[in-house]
Amino acid sequence: MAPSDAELIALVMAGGDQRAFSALVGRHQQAVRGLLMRLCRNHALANDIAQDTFVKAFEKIASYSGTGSFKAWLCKIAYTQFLMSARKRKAADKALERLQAEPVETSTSTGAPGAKVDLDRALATLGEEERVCVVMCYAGGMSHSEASDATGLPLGTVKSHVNRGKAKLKAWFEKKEQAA
Amino acid sequence: MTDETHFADEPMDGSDPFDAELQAMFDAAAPAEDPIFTQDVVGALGKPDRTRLLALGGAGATGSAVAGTQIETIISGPLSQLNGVAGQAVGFIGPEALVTGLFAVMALGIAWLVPKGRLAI
Repeated sequence: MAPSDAELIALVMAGGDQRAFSALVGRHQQAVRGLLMRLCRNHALANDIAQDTFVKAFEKIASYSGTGSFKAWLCKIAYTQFLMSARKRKAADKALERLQAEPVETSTSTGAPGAKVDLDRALATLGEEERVCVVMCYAGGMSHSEASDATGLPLGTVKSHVNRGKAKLKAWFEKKEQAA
Repeated sequence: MTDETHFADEPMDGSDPFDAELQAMFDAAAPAEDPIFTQDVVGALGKPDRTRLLALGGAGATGSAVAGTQIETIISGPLSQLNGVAGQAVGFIGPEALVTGLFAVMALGIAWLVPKGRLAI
């Protein structure tokens, strides 16, 4: 039987077990990379930030209290790393505006590319906080309370952003379907 | 019902069919599991940041250069007072060689103290 997250985390905390951490990376990389890809819309940048996220998680694993899920803790670090990266790049806002006009799909993962472009295009119509909340809940699989903790937004605000964002996405896809 | 219990651990409520549709879209757009990514992360563990390493190296080199100009004066003064074989040996070796030896010992000490693989780039 595969060891649980808690068992693997205990091994990493006890002696910096890299094999145990490798198992954790394998288990949670899709959620973290998926979250970052929807936030960055750039495959290479998302992977770089995801790598930084896991390295940071390894260094700070002692600060994981175990009260929430490990995935949510990782996603919180990923979001912080994403914000830091955006601040460093400075041109992030300009890039976002450019992407809102014409999102570029740079992902090389499997799946229907058209659907991914549509999803990114639809997400680009949301407000910044709406997009972050929707992406955290759907791409990162986080609960509203976990998204609230990660973003620092009040729980009710997260719920509103997710519902409003979802309504906008629904309208966007309906409009697209009608146009087709 | 408090907000916390209402929202706790509920990614989606499932009552809206668009929820499932949207989740399926996100799942389809999610990246595939990549073993190379895992290898890259594990490879990056324990490696100090290159910029930090360069900054530390630069600071160390500057410190060594400054110390190198001062140590000769500091060491050669007291050593010149030594008599006998030790004093002659010091005079024969010279302060530069002494400083070089001292730094070699320090470097060996650091190499012995730093854990294996810690400075791999």
